Amino acid sequence: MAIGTVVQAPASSQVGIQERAGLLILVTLIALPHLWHMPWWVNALAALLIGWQAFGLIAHSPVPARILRAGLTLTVFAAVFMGFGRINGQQAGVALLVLMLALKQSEITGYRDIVVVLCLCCFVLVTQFLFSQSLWMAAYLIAGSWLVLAGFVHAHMPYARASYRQAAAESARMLALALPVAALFFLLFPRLPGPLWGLPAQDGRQATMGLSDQMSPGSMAALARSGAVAFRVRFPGRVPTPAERYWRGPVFWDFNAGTWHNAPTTAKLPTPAIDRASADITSDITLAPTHEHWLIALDLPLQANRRYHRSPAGTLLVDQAIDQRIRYVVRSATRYRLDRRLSRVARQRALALPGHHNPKARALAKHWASEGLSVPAVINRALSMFRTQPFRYTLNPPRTSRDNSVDDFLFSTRAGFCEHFAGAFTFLMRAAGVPARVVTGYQGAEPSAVGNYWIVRNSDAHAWSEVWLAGRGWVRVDPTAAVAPSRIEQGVTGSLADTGDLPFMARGERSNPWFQARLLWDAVNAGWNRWFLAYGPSLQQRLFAQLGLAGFGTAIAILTFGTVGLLGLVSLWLAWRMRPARIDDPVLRAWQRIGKRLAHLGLPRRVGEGPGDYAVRVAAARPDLATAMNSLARQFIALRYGMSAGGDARRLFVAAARHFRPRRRRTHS
Amino acid sequence: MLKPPAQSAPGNASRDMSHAVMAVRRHLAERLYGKDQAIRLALTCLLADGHLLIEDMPGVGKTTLAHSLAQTLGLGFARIQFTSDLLPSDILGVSVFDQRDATFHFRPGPIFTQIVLADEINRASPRTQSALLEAMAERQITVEGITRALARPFCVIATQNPVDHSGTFDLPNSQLDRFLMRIRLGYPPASAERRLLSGDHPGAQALQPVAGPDDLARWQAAVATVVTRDALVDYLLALVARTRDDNAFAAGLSPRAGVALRRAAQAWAFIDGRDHVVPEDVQTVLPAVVDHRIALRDGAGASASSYLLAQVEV
Repeated sequence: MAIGTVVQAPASSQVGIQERAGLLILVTLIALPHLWHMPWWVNALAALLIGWQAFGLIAHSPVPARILRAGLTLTVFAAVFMGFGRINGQQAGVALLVLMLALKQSEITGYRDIVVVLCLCCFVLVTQFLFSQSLWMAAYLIAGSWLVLAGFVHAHMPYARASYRQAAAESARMLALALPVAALFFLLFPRLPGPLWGLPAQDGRQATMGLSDQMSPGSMAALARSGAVAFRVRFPGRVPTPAERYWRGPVFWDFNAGTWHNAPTTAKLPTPAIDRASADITSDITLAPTHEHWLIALDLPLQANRRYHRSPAGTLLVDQAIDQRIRYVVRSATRYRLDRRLSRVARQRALALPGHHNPKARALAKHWASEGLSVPAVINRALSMFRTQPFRYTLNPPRTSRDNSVDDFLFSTRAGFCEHFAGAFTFLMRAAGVPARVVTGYQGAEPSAVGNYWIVRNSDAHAWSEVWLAGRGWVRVDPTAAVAPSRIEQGVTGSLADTGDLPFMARGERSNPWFQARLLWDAVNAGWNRWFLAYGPSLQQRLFAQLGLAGFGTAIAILTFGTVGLLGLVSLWLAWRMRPARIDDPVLRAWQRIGKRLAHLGLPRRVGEGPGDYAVRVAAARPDLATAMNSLARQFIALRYGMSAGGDARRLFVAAARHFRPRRRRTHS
Repeated sequence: MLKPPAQSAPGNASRDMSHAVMAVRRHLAERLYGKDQAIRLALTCLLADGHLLIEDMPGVGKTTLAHSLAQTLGLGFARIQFTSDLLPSDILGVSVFDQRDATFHFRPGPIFTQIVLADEINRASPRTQSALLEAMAERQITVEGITRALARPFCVIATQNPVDHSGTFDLPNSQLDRFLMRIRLGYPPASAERRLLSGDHPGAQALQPVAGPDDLARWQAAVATVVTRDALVDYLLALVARTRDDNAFAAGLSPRAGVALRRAAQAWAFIDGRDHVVPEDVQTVLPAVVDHRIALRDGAGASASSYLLAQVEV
């Protein structure tokens, strides 16, 4: 905070009750959004501390005793350490910061404390971005910076009784002047790949809704109840047809006790072989943080514009879990051949059905196989069973048992969401000797209100199957489509009987104005994500290219650094200019030296105290110094205010002042 | 007020003057018990050739102070009780037609004296008030086109009641600015009141003058020669500038107020027997000179002068 060092402190060191109350409100406002990121006990403790301070202000109670403050400080440290097991790291560190800030309020006595609190407020402001980078938060933080800046302005106003309105206006002016510069630096300052500091691996990670690394009955239905945006996508070229809008996510090979997952195996599956594929759809995806490794992409992804590797089932994976919103471009093929040859290991896993559960389903599939049907015929048999028998597509399927979930679903409940159909279908295929696996991801996309992009929500989460056909490789089969064909054509809304269970935004009531407003807001948010949060080196390069500055990246970097350096020099120069004026009068200098020496003994000259009054006060407090002090004051007054201005008298006084070295020792109490 | 250590030996003449002023003070103190500070401030105002506004409750000795000042210094004294039907001519005087010589003769009003006590000045209409205030500023009056100079020394001592405001016309700031000082007397200390109640007060009997108008004129001339060095002028400037720059004040001090502050500090230093002004002189007279001219924006509690004293570096 350069301001703090440049401008002189106001003369009055007293902090009024109004200032303290204002500061308390400011701190509360700045820390408020952390309410949603902190465990309840941190919030309760902070509320307790702030309430205590507020009560103290109302009751005009004095600054609490040092021992109490020290005790509270230690308590806060201990509480944070016991609660988090550490005192650093994202959440524990922020919790400690907020609590200490709340505690600091109790000992504000002077200008210096105010500056400390305001600096801490700046830091707390920044920590908000560790938890949320939404547009709302940005707006809140701009307002917060305005208030903190107003606090600084108020604290530094030349006189103690500056008005808050004036300070607010002044800081708004400063902010308005600074924002264009900040925007310019944002655009031009060399962007670093990745965030400036490594985010600690989300020690306070909230459970984010999204695809998970396993699928069991009910897991997809749970996801479908969330209207949150999973990702937004633009199609620079051709837009895929509704039937092509399968977004590939994790693929599961292993089935165990009702759950599809990928068991850790020693036998390594080979990387998939893709041929006869030509990328015909490009999608530009902005993916919300998933805290997982897969890059969701239109089936089947061929390549992406960031470092990735491919899972044995063809899903794109990245090395680092996606803890932040990322943007990438994927080229996909809607026609392809995937793994025309199936390795022995893959075939084994794609056929494995360990255990003896679900006997009826096994028997049914064995029966189909024993009829000597071809593989496509077996598939059709299964699909026609879903189509002809009274299967229901619902968000609220009846519960099935853990071990015989497939039997329960196929032969008794006959009601399920996509995971039931995909899981049962895959099970039947394997039991009939057809290699099959479960693919999870999303199906569908909804056009945005403005901005020419598409939204895919959690409610679009979907599961389907892939079966392996000799000569064709892995082929997508979506058994849900057999039961509810409209699921694919019209999305989840048009296909479910019990639409009311869907989240509002997934219901797609396009005529509803509230829905339209929400879509519009989504467009604003998308722009925010696309242009601000994702503004990195590559986007910067593109901006420079568009401005015709493609080749000048280095020059711009030098210019930017130069400007920053120049601004730094200007502030240094301003600070130098605003240093206290040097006093030319040796008499006055000598008098001030006396004041400084006495200040060491706890007798500083007060603001607005005349030399005579000062001498009287010093003499009263230190009778042993009375004679010397009175004599010095008499000489000083005569030299500065009286008519005698002789050179000898001046020299004598300066010499006397130099020899005036009062000791700390007190002769009288 | 803590007195600065006594210093430089004044000349014989000034020492005599200072002794004479001391005699005046002692004389007045015999009449107004326990009011040394108020007496000294009133005397300062008189020596600085300014007008005085006394604001206090009835019966605390406002009139006694004014009257005693006039008697002690042997000055002419007139008292005008301000009422809402008082007319300017009641103060200034009026021309009367004399049938014998068929001409108008000017009958001077009560203002043609040396000390005018304008009692409860805020009870008169603004028109009447302004007639008096004009006389205060110009030290002359013009009636029917003829300008007449007022006596010298000339001092208006106005009083007003700070509490009872019904049927009064508050003096506007521009007119308050014409009073060099406003002082409050306050209730007497217990010991003084005991003396008062035990009946050994001299009562209304006239005080013997201990000085004359010529002495006062000489002292006033001497006050103007009390030295204010650059360092002190800097302090005065800082005080005045602060009232204009600081947002805490609704309005700043006028240049006239700055001059008044210097003059009052000179008079205070003169009474102290010094030939130069020190910051403590300024600080002592500051409340009386400043507080009726300006106020803090949120005037809760603190006065303008106490704020200035605490904020402006000497």
